[in-house]
Amino acid sequence: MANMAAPDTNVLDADAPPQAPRASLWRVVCATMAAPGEILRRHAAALPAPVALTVSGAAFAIFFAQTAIDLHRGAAWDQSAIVSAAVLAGTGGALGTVGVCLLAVLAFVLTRPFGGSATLGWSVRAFGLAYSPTLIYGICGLLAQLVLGWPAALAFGVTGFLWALSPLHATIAELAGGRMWPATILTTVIGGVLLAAWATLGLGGLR
Amino acid sequence: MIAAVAFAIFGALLARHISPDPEAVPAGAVLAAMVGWLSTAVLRGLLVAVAGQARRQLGAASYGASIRSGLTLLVPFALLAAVAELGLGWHATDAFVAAGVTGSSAAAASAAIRVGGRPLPSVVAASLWSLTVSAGWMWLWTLGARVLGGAP
Repeated sequence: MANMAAPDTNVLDADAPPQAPRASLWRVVCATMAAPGEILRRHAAALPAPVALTVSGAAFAIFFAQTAIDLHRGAAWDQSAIVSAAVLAGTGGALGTVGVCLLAVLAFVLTRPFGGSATLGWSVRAFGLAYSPTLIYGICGLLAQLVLGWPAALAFGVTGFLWALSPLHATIAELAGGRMWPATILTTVIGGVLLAAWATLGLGGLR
Repeated sequence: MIAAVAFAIFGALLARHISPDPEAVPAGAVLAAMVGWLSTAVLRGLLVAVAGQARRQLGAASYGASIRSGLTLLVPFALLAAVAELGLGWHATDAFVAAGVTGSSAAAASAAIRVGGRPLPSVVAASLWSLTVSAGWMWLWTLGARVLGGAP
């Protein structure tokens, strides 16, 4: 795991927002649920991009795994069902890392005309951390599924996904130099893309 | 204004489930827009009331404009609720309303704090507002469903 100072020597991070002292990943994840904008501004520069994308990757992997478990409710868990669920969780992980990274790059490029000072590296890290609420809800939902047998993909998964819109909006507003309307439009588009991706890959994946 | 439009979308989506009457959708939209307009005016009033010195320095109108900018966060929730309901066929508008109300009130408080508002009173006021509006919204639509005989 790279030290926080290392990525900042990169030209991408030359004028990143001021850094906070390196905090533990879990502390950042929990704080992002409570006060997303300020926490992302302070900590997105302090965590390496792969660590930040691990948050979104794990969040989507759990979300997709919940979907697989819900869709298999009442059916026998044979080997093909387990493989199918693992493939779906892997698809979620890929969407949460590669997909979220690409959307962060897209948001960075599209907000350039608005003159924000955040860097591409910061954008990727903040996008990854924005899915902290999804990860927390995902873990709670998975426990509710496995321990209590509740269906959780909609109740916990989609709710967690929705809670990520707030930090996502704060991130895009920062990229757009504090302008709210570009942030609102891009948040809607990116949220719609990820929701449609889940509906297609997640719900459609086991049909 | 924009918050009222977002609430109108939520209201129109929920009204489809409450009554098969074609007039239910515009009626639900108008009722929800009024609730949205009134409730966000209350939030602005609360945040301006707890602003302290920032209100005197910026003026109530300018301070209120900062709060309104935070409330634009309701728009993605309303539009994605429409996509989920009309495009994907899910009946999950309530989840979008709850997350949208809480997220946008936090964004409004955050916007107020950024221009000099007092942090703790602003966060407490926004949290109390979002709890009240979420509960009031659920009560209102459950009552509407009971009166009209549909599913909330």
